[in-house]
Amino acid sequence: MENNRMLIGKLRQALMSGNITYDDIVRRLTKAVEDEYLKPSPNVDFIDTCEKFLWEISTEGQQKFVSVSDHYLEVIKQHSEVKTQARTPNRPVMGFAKRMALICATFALLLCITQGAIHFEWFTQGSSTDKQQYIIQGHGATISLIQKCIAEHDACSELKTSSWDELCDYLGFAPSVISPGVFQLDEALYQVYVEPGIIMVNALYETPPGNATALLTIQYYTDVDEALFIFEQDASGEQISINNHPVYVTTNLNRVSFSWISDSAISILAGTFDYELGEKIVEQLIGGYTQ
Amino acid sequence: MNKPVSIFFAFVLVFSLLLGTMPNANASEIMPYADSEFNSATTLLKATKQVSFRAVTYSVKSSISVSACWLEKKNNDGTWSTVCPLPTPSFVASETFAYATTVDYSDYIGTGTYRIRATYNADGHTITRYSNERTF
Repeated sequence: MENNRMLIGKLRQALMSGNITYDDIVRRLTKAVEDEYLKPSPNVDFIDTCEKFLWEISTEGQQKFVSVSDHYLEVIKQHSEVKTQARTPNRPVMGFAKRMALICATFALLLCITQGAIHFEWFTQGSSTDKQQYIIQGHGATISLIQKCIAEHDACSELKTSSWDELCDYLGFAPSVISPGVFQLDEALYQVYVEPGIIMVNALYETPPGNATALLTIQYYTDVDEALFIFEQDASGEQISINNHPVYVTTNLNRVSFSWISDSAISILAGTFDYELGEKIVEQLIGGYTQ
Repeated sequence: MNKPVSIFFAFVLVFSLLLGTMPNANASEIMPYADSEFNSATTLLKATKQVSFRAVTYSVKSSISVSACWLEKKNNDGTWSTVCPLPTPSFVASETFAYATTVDYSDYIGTGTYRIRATYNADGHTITRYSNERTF
């Protein structure tokens, strides 16, 4: 760990003295992190140190660095709060020993995640041979377990509702979908499908007749073997950047669709709305992921 | 109408008909057919030889199902051959816009490289799509 700090110290000095450019340092550190991830036993300290430094120079030290593991811890905390509020009346008070066991299990889980399972690398994106469909396939690990914990559904189960509260209660967390009433998308119908390896959340927004409709699908993968999503397109699309996040934009007949990857989830927003409106919605949703 | 004029009009008519009926090879190459009803249709062949069928439509349908399913095997020359039809999933989604189910086909899949061809059906509108390929 000390060697890592010394290395970063030297890089910081080189950057301040002008011996190395900002772009060069970002490129070299990013490559070093990627190479480290590919090793059989990645050095997590090295990765954390590099990512922390990258964050520091990209935000000019104005924003606090939050590691991926810290982010997951925060998610678990939020989840715990939601569950406590929603289910306390139906459950007996948990004993001290059980609570301690649960806390230990949580930290053991975090430890496993931190030791190399946090990296979710998407390795295939592209149109099918006949250009009929666009394919995203990935492999990843883990947060899955947290998602499972959040969902608390042991076997296959399904929910169809128009109630936002019921949706959140079923999942145990609030998914990054568009809240009813926002962007003039009033009526929403939600459909959730949960399986051990995947949570599929679909939201269909219906507006008054003649207006735009929108469909939002988010697939949270919890298993490498499940990470495949194939959607329709009528021509090869293009990749754009929204909030510095790569987003693939394509069309399917008279509908535009935006798709993007965040952590272990794939999202797609499609509908007959204007392109500019789609960009605004995606901007909001991506912002929601990174908070 | 004199004879040269008749021949000219006949030629124009035949040429027009030919233009209308000739397939446009370039168009078929660069303009794949999109789908008006399905937003996504994913058939996932897993390492466990289970197959997940997932589809989402743009509007609520009376029923969404998988109406046909085949197992295909890759030949040595890279082409695909149909091995057999597979039993379709019994699950039919009703009054919804999303479909998801998983079926175990381990009894049908041996060794080699396989993929699944599935036909999704939403209120009579069908599309046929392929799964990922996987080697066992």
